Amino acid sequence: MPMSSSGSIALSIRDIGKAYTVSSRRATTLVESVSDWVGRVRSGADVDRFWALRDVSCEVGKGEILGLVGRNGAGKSTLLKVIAGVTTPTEGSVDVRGRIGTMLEVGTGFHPELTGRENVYLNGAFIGMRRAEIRARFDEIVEFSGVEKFLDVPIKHYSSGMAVRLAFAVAAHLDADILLVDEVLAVGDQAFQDKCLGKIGELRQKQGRTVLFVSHNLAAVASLCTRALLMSGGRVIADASASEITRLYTAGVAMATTTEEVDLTPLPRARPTAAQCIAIQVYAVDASGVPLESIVPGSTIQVTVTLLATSPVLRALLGVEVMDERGRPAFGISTDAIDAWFDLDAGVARRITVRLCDVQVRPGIYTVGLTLATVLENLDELDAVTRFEVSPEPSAGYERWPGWPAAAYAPRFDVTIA
Amino acid sequence: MTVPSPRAALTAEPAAMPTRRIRADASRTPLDLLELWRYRDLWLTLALRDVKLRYRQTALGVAWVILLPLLASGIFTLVFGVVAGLKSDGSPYFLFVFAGFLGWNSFQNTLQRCSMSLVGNSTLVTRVYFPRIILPASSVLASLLDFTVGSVIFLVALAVRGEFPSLLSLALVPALLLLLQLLAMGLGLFAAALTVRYRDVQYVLPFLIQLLLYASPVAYGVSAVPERVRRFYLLNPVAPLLDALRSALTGRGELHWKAIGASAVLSVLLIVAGTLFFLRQDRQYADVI
Repeated sequence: MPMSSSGSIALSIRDIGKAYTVSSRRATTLVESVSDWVGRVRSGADVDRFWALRDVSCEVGKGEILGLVGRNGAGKSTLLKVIAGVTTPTEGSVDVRGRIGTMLEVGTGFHPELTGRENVYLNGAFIGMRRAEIRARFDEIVEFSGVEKFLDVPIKHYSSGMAVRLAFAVAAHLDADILLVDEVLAVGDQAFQDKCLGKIGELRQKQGRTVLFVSHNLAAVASLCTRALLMSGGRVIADASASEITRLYTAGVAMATTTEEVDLTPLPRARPTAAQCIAIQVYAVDASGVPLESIVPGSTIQVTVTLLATSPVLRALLGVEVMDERGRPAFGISTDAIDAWFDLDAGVARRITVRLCDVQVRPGIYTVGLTLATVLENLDELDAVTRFEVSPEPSAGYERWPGWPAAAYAPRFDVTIA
Repeated sequence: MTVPSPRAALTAEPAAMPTRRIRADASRTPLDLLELWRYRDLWLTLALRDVKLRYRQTALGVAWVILLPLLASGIFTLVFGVVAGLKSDGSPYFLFVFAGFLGWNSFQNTLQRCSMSLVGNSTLVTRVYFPRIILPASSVLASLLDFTVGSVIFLVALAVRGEFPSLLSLALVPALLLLLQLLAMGLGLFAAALTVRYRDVQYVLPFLIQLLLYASPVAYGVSAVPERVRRFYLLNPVAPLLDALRSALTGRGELHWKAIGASAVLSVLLIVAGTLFFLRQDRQYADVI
């Protein structure tokens, strides 16, 4: 098991398992609870359990930045919650040395009615800091966040970007020995994201803090983390250097090709549902629908998803979400937006073809996520089912895509100079 | 599965580094007094948050602290003093009821805020770690503040009439208030833990509190309860404390020491039992809420 050079252990995670009850109707009133109990005693059956985490063991050295990589539902967030002490494990134990600071969601622990200033104190108190200790850090926090002007404004009037900046500033500057960061940086702007990633690196190097970092931003994981875990279906399937883990993860996401379908049946699902996406195909087409060799900015991209139901589904919708290399949403569609609904019969495969017209995105690698749902429930949610590359336009004749760290979307434009 | 690390045994941690062990097999969260002490500022910050938020975006602001008991006393004076003709202890009926409401409100507010403290802060409970018991405990401070403000106004009104309770009598007030708060929080801890699983509690509780109000000496004094049923009447643990609190504030009326003693014992038992019950449920809050 890889160890940090500093030699002391910040976290010892031993055989952690976390099960949730998945009985469709959980008792929430006394009467239901009693009738459930009677039913269980009669039938002798136990409650259905779903293991969100199983057999997770790992030691994290002081000063390590550990990345957690995996698809949605792999157990990353549950693991952070168990370590944070928010939820109790069903099996195993965790030894935590030091104070834990968490950023499990944007503005966690922020109260919308309180001002920025009041919330800084509240957040510090959550990790067990004294008011005087927080006061000593206050100016640093405010400076880093860049929200000086809004300190006495209630958080509810903040933009989500401002809230994230303040939340990160608080988490990074308060005296947490171990910092748990869950995919919060996806919200801020690029400059602030870079600043945060820089700060995380600095926390480790100068102050020997330990950071557990969940992100879909593989580039950040690879550059920042000293080590990473690849999780799938609630288990750790690889524990290695960050670059090795990101390689393993992306290798698991098949590249879309013009001719071949990607089989989606082996992907882990949290629970069995009535219908699933079983295959996908992504390629560019010309105006008459003939497949093209490569995808370029402005291409029409055709996404074909094959669906299979085990029991009939009425009025379903399909969502396609495309993320850029940094794990940020680039664009997406949902079939209900144009009132295109479909029914599924048990055992009969259906192919849904979505044509995305004039996709103006920067060249790069994009990953595709799928959501199959009815208005009542999500049937299948999959991220990173396949990847495709948008190549630079060969005919442009000039460098139309300078290496700006800009948004994925780039509209066609013209300029009139009078 | 785990490889024991030879280095772990050699490492000397700085004494200040708190170590916490999260275990699956513990049946309940232990009461870690040291940890609670480290989190003492969270208690204060949360309590202040509640106080600050209570009257934010209200036109009358803090004035509600005093307006609500005044209004309640006014209505009780009209209904029970004027229409029903209930007797006070000799002071004007309005002041008599007002003194009763000071104690009653502190009890009711603590109980109600405690019961909602987990459900009302569900985002915190599911996302941030801290000793959960701080949430219900932080609701006590607001009640203490309300009581203090109300009492000062009451005593000024009394002084204007040329009366004032003896200092010995006033010295009893904090002790009686403490017992009343222990009682409220003891019940509140049960209610808070139960509400997480059974939302029924939040509908039943206000009804029970309403019943308890009429079964408690607010609109009337214990001395007004017929002698033959008083034994049973005083089984309500709130009754002797409320009555004594009013007597201590007004400086009138007799103290039923035996009943007060019984209530005191019950208060302590309830706070212990409530804490144990709350901690026993502690491990499920984030998953069930």
